[in-house]
Amino acid sequence: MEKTKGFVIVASHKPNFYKYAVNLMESILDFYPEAKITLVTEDRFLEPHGEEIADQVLICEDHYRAKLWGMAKSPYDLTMYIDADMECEHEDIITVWEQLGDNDVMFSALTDDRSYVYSQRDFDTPEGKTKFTLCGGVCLYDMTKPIVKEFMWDWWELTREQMAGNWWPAGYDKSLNRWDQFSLWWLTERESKYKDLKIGIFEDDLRWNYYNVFNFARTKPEGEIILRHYSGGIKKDGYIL
Amino acid sequence: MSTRRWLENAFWETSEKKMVNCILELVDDIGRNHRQVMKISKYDSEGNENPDFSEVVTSIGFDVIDKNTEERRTRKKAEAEEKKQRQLEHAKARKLEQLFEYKLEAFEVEEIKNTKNRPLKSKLRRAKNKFEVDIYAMMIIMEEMKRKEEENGED
Repeated sequence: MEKTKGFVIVASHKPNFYKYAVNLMESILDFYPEAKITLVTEDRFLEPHGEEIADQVLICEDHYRAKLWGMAKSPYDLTMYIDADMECEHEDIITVWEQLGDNDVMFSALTDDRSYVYSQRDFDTPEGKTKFTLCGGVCLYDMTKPIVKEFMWDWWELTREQMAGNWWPAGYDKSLNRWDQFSLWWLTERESKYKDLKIGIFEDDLRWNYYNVFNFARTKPEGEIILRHYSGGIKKDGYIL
Repeated sequence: MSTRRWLENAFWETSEKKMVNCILELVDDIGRNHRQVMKISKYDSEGNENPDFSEVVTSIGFDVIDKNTEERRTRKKAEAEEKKQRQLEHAKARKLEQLFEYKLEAFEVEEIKNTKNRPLKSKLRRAKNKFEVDIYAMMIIMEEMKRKEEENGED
């Protein structure tokens, strides 16, 4: 049986994210009218228009990182999670499913040459300095694989615990606890049960997650931008991480 | 024993080649290294030839200084061009963010939010400037008003 395919978009905590999410859904449908989209949002934000354009709606709690809960709750086999403050601007969005290959999970990358827009990337560990390498702005994953399903739930649970102050490993700077990148790093680099999780990076990944705070003269994809990220927008701080 | 030498990267400060920009490296008796950046004129204030200038040019060579000057000019030009390009792209990105926010405000207008005319709404989303946003927004609103009028007329 063919795997089901769909997008997950999460709008929680701030009303603006709901507006972004609706725009993102519509922009995907502009290029991919058959796309299935699950909108994950809070009851207080939900409006008839958003409900109408989404394939289905899941109600989440008011949490800054409810995106991870939404990712874990995906009703689709192959899921493309996209941060709400993004916009689709290219027809190649239809090809997203081909990106997965034999990987379990795919992200875009945090790299040295893009580090001028990261507020915090390097950090100390008891074993020495290291850095975040995966960006969770977009994530393509296969929920039919038990390891992926478990990973998504663990990512959410660990992030919730770390942000609530209930979990933190010794020897790490406590200020990192606001980043879901840290829990992602921990699970992928320190949890032995995920050592076989096949993590890939999107081909020409800037096409799939192009932060508008990037300077196009300095950082640009080989192909045209598919998903543009307004994360560093005028109502935010100018940094993406 | 102390030593002094002119570094090879000297370049002409003026197009007339009457002033050279260079670095003098000095190593003192106990091996401490000092570097001084200097601009040396060919003539002093009274019009006499400056022996330091002759020393630099003889030591490094006229051709080498010419070559350094040309390479530096090319490099500086490229750097200036890159800086200009980055500033341009930065401004474009800021403008795009403002346009994005402007569109989101337009999508909050009831008639635009709920329009069934997806192609027109898509055009609004793809608008390249505020002028285009306004035009498509107006078209959608007028279409919605007309539709409502027709519905009321049928009633």
